[in-house]
Amino acid sequence: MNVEQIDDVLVFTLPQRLDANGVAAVEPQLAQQAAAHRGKMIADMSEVNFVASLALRMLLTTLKVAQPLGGDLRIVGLQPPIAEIFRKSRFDTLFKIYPDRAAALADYQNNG
Amino acid sequence: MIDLLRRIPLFQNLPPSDLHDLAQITQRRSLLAGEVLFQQGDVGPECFAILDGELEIIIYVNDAEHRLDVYRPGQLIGEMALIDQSPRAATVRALTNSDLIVLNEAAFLRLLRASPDLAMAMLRNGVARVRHTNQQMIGDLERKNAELLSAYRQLQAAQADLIRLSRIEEELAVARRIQASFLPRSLPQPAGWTLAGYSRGAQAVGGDFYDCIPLPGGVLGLIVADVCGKGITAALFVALTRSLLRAASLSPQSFLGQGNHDPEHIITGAVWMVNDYLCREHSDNALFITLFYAVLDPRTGTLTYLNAGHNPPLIIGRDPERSIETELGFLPIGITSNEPYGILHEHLAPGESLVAFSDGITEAFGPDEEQFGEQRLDQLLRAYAPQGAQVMLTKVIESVDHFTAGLPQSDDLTLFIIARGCA
Repeated sequence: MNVEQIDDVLVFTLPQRLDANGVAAVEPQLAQQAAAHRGKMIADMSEVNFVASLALRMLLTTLKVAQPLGGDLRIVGLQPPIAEIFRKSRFDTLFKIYPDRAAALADYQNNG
Repeated sequence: MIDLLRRIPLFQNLPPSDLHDLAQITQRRSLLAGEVLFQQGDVGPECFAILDGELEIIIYVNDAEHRLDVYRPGQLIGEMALIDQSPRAATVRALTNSDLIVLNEAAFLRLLRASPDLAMAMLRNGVARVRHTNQQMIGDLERKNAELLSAYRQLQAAQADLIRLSRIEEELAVARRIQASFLPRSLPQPAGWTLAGYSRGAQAVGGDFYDCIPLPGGVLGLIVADVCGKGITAALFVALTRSLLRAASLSPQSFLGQGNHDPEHIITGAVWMVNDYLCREHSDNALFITLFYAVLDPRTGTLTYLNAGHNPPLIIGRDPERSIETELGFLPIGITSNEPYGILHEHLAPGESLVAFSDGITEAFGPDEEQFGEQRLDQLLRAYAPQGAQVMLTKVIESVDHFTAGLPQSDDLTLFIIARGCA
């Protein structure tokens, strides 16, 4: 999983297939870096073409770690089938979702 | 030949006359590297003294070659067969180009008679060789014994693993039976309606379930739920959620402290209680459950429902061209204790069906990584809707199984269909 820091925002690029194996491959790194960063984060999901419910759980856990510390996890680049999963599960009401990382970064910049 | 004989230390102290006689009855023999002097089991009328080169002593055990020793210049080879007239005990092969003196039986006996010192030296040689061989054999036996012991210990460990695995499998089989008993054994079939349900875990136990709870007043509670993840962790949450929902629905006074038995209160009360319980007691697990809970009044077709993040069930038969998605609801349970769960309403007219399913159906993978998808589900349901809930269900499951072509099931799958017959 590619991770980069843009100003004070940590950006994770999640892999294509977030099934049980895909989640197991990135979850420890995501958890560790989210706990250490304690701030603004973006999950770039533009490459993701499959999410199992465990992937939603991973994002939820990361959000729950970030928010009490004043941080946040925002989602960008959902492909249409993945956006449908967020819509139907109402996870779209849990996360701030943007079309791409530029939009998310700009919103972090302007509105915190 | 006399000079050659003198190069052998054993012969150096022989009187010249004996050496002379011996030279008359001995011959030389040369071997190329790799050439065999004699084979194990050959009859041996002669022995050999090494002038130059190295020869290896080999025996064969179970067709495998073992080198016992390497002989060098000055040493005598093959005298054992001459002493006891037995076949060769081992094979001798030249490691390097070698030069030997051949002593036939007559020459050998003459040597022994000519010099008691030489006979003694040969005896010493022989005894030393026997001792050496004995030690080697004991060493081999000790090594083999250690190998056997280690193999025995590995076998014991493997057997213990097998026993442990078999116990786990037995326990999983029990868990599977218990979980199967959580699913309705049979579904009520109210007049004018057909109901059919099916749930199959991807592993021994699953994270999906459906339920049908006959409630007071002749209405039916209908539930489809999917715990995130699969396997044992998910199955434990299935047991918990299913039991709490059932108990709270059937006994709202005890669990919810309310006397109001209308469908809206039963659903919101039960879902609120289970969500609150999960968020308070199990938030560390961050496991959430998508849940569709409806109460059907079969007399009127009224459907009162709450959707907590579950795939929106489909209404079949209202629009001939497509299935209609029921309205979206709220977040799955187990995420936030203050989710404002609210109630929605539907009405199923004669000829209409409600199909609730878990994503194991639509996200079943075929061999080329394609997903079964909502379009296939929609077409099948519309095609078989006139034949009632059981036929629709059977056709969908058959079609998913055909689509996945025997691949391991990637997720738990559940389907629950309520069909209202035509008036």
